[in-house]
Amino acid sequence: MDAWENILKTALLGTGREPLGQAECMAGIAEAIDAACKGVQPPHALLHAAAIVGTARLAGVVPTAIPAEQFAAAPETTAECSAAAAACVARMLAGEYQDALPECLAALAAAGRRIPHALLADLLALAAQKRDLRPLLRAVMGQRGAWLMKQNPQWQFDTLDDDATAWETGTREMRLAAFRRMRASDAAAALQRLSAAWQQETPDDRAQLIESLAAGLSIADEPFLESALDDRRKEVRRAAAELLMRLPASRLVERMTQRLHALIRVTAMGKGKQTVAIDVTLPAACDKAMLRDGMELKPQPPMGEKAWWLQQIIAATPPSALTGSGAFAPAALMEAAGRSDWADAICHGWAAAAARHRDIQWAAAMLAWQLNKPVEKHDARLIATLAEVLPSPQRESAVLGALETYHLDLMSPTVRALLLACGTSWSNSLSRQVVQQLRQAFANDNSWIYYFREDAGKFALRMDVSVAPELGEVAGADKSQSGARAADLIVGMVQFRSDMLKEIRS
Amino acid sequence: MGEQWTAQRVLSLAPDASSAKSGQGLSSARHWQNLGRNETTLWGECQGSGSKPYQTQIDLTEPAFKCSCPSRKFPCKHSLGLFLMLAQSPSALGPGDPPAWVAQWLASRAQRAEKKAQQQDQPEKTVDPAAQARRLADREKKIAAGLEQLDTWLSDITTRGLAAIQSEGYAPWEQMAARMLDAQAPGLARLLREAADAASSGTLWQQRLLLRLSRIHLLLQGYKRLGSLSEPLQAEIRSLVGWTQSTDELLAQPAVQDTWQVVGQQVSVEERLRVQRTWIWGAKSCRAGMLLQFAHGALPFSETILPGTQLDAAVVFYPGAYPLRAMIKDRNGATGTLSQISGYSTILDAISAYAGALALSPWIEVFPMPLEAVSVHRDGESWRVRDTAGDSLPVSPRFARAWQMLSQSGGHAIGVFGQWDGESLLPLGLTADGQFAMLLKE
Repeated sequence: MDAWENILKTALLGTGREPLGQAECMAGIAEAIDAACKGVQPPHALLHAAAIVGTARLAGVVPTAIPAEQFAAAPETTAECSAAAAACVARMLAGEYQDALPECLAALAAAGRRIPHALLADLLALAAQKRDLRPLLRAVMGQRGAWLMKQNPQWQFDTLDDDATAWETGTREMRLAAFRRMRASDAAAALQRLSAAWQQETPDDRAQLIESLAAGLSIADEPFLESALDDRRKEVRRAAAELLMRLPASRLVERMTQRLHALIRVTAMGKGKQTVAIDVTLPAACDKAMLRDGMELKPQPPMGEKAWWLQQIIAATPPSALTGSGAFAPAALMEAAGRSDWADAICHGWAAAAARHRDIQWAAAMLAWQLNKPVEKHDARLIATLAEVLPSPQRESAVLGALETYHLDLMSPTVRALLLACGTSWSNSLSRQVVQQLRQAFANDNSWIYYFREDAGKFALRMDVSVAPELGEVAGADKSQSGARAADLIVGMVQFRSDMLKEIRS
Repeated sequence: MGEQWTAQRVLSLAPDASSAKSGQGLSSARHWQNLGRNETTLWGECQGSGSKPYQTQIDLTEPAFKCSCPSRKFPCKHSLGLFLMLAQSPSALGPGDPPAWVAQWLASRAQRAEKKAQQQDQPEKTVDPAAQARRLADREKKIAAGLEQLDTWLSDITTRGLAAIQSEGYAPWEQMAARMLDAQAPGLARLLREAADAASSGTLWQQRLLLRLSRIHLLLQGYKRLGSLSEPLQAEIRSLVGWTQSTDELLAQPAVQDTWQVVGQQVSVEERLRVQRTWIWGAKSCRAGMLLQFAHGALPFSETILPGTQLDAAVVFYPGAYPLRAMIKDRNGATGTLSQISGYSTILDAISAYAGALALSPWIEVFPMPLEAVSVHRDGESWRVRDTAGDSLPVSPRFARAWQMLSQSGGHAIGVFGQWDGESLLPLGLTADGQFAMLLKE
């Protein structure tokens, strides 16, 4: 037993039990202990010996040798962003205006700048919680970021290695990111790679990979997707069916169209095909083939089973399937459908079909149909889905139109849904219109803005930053407490984004 | 003067994290009216929840703050916001003449400064030497009695065994610490409380407690034979027991002039007192100093000493066996930035210096270790720093920013300053790519 262990043992039990005994120790120390303990009471002797040996142990620590690191990070090839931009990023990482971070990272990537080393760890830690940040990392993390990711198993979202290597050897996230890039550059080659590896993929991976085929989707993908309808995992079948529904020439859509024609017949009444009659039969059953094609058996109450199946069939076929070669105008069809017993199922089905097949004419028509209803009957989610089908300028004019024609304002959920469907960055004219609306709202009664502060936060992310000064004026007028806080939300965020983008682009 | 104030420097003046955040929130011009500045002063009016806006002003020469808001915090969030505006968007503060309410404040400050200068010129109040001698003698008696008591108590614990005292919890330590305070020996009270903490520190508590008790024992025995010890050792022991050094005597000491690198800083809270410990390293003298500042509640520290800077200064050291505690006597010239930590080039050098220090003063608890070039290594959940020779030291498990440190190292060698406590290294600052970064969050 060595000297320290001996002293420790005696100390724990107490010198009353047993005084300090001899033990092995280095020359010099043994003498010092003896000298200290001569003619001294046992407790003092122990404490003094402990002081000698304890201090000697501290002074004599021998550092452990460890091997050198396998590889260090490669030198950077892109320039670091400015100190001011880094300060903005640091504020966001600390929690201030954090929702603006995706925009910031995209702007940094566009400016060809990278995140400073000091902020990388916090950024990756945040990305571990917020998935939407992950695709944005690759362009701004630099060589150090790629190196850092490799060091921490929780941060292995992506890599700077080439896509083929990442596909073969990477983690699930890396493979997914690499596959998306390969699909973007050569859709057919990516499909081939996927088919070759399909059998070995785990069910979870399959579900995510098959969803990635959405980018660059074409009829060439149809055979693969059709076979995926028989996969064991429901998510995979569902994803395959969803994608096939977007391909009008696919066998699935053909089958659905056949089912549709068996259930719905449209006939013109009178001259000019202005008025139509719709003859609807409900499907008798939802058989195996229909389930294979992605239909759900159970409806959401209060809708009935058969109406639900009808709706799904309609939703799976392109709207033009009914109209044939555009023989019937959407408006006329909708009017006829409105007279049917199953108006809801039919119209919602058509709306979903318009969205799925990105049929602009139909989407515009259905949007107008929705907006024409009294405000309480608006289905905000449906409106948003339809609005997203429209191309950007048309979308914005739909919103502005709704504000005028239907006398809607920011308080109505419809308008808010439409605004949020207008994409992630609004045009200058739309932003200024919204600022005007806010000005009116603040002038009247501002406490309501507190109740939809979540949407307000999202607006603040989409506004064109050049309206920041106008916005500052609007909010300055307001004095109340809750209104002031909500105003600060919007104004602060827009001002911060404006400053941030200025720093990055300067 | 204003050009040197960066956002980071301003935020370091904030009394707590929520003030810093509120200050940031008030740092954009839309919350302010009538903003302006001249060479030495900033001012503005900030709309709060009251009817009249608050008037805020900052004299940059110190800096000194004044705001009409009712907040007890100092500097308040309005002052911080105004100051941040200077750092982040200085164009918002247009040049101009100070309005009446600012001019008034500046005038009264000038008056007060004059009065203070007058007072300093007056002769000092004479202290009655006999009364003072009596007071000192009384204190010595009290301390001697207190230390006797402690000695007996310590022997008692050692006889019964550490296992026994550890199972009795905090109470016996607290009681003894209180008695030491009564005996006017606050240093021993602190050592007792720290021993109590060691007793409840989890694995290795036995070694830690025994070591601390043995050091207290050395202190007691040393105090009894004070006269027979060397001057530096006497000073060290008296200071550890709780005798304080007079500032005048201290300033009379020979000062060490050097370029001092400010390499680390920690703020701890002891009841209502905030204690700021700043480490400095003399580039030429190759020695470390520890500056201590105290502030009550939310008041600011009197001097602003920022990690990552370099000071051309004359520093005096408190007398002791291994002098570490220091005070800045004269600060001349501008503050530079620290781009590379200088210190020990190998870990063996650092450990040897530690051993040398222990030989002079066995009571050293934290030893400053600036390591010029180490890389950062991860071993499962724990971390190490490794020098170019291959030797490594463990990083403290309390250290929370290891990944940030790794990120800045990238597998390459960086400069790291840390506190070595005999078991592990607690990094406080680093330099990488010619820039300094602080590693400890408050």
